[in-house]
Amino acid sequence: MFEDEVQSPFLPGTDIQYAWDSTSLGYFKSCPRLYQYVMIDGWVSREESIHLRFGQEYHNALQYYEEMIAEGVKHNDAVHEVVKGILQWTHGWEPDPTTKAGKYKNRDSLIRTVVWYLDQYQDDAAKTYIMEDGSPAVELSFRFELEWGPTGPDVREINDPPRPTQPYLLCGHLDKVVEFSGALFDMDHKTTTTTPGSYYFDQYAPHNQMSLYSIAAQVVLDSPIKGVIINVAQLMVDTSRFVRGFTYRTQDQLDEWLADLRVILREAEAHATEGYWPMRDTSCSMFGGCRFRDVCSKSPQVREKFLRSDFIKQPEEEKWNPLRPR
Amino acid sequence: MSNAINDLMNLDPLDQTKADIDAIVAHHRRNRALVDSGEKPTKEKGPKIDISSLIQGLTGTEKPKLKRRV
Repeated sequence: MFEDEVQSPFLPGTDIQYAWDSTSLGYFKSCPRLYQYVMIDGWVSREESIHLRFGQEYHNALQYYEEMIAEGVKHNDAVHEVVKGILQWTHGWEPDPTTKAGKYKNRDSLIRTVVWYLDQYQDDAAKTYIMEDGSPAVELSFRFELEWGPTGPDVREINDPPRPTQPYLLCGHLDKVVEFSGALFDMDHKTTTTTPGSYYFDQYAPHNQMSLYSIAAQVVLDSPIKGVIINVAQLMVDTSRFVRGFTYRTQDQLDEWLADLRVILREAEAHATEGYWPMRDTSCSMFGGCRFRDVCSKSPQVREKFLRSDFIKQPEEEKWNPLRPR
Repeated sequence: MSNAINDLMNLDPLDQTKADIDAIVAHHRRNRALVDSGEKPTKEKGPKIDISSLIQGLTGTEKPKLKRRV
């Protein structure tokens, strides 16, 4: 499929999103205005593009390794091929080293982190789940329908045929499913420049992405999932270190998450219909401060000017789209 | 990152040999072993640059000469 053929996650001619992933849902839950700036308008910061690229390449590298190991390639040969792959995929990528993102996330730190991670977890106690077709359960894309959908815009003429109903879709990509201590877990890779102590892991319960991924893993594997193992790579200037944490979900918690989602998506549809995305000013300082805080702190008449100077407006085909395959 | 490794990484991927990639992997493994043993990873410093002439150009002043203490 060509990149420009990716379907829009919005109902045609509206800002009503019907295909949601954890990223877009996270934006909306944090702040409707943040959601508007990223999902509707397509603003991204320069630093954010470094984080996104680094994360994508890190995931690609680990997936490539898993695929080779599943085919019987030896560890050292697989590491060699992964590094070769990274050098090809990232050739010409030069993140600005004067930014904080570029200082920690660049080609060198990417290769270092991948090599160190793969060596450290060469004999991992958490074994990659092998699916019935013999393929490793890594980078599993999921897309499933909910039992309800948006009401949609009320634009029908009296003689128009009934509108086809579009249910909401939940979509995304699971990094990996593993067997650990006799249970199945989703495993999610994260990179951070902060120290991943207990305070860091506390953020994952409750947590939008981890609850969605627990549900998704159950749907994809048609099997109960105990929770998510969070595999964190801490990036420092010259070193990387790895820490693992667990977050568990009961079926009742997952059902509650879905019940909440119904209310939240109704709210998103209402804002889209009104064409107004209010600021949730209690979220501005969360997680080290929202990237749009400086913009939102300005008077509404001059915000566009500040957006244009500090952010890049992505063309339609590059905007974040939950339906885009990896 | 050492200059030699930096050069290898910046080669056109079509020109990178198996030995080049092995050297990059070995460099990172060596650094991991150093960190595990409590040492700092290797870092080759670039040549020293005398910035006094640059400062002089910017400020229009000469760098004061150090006086010998008697």
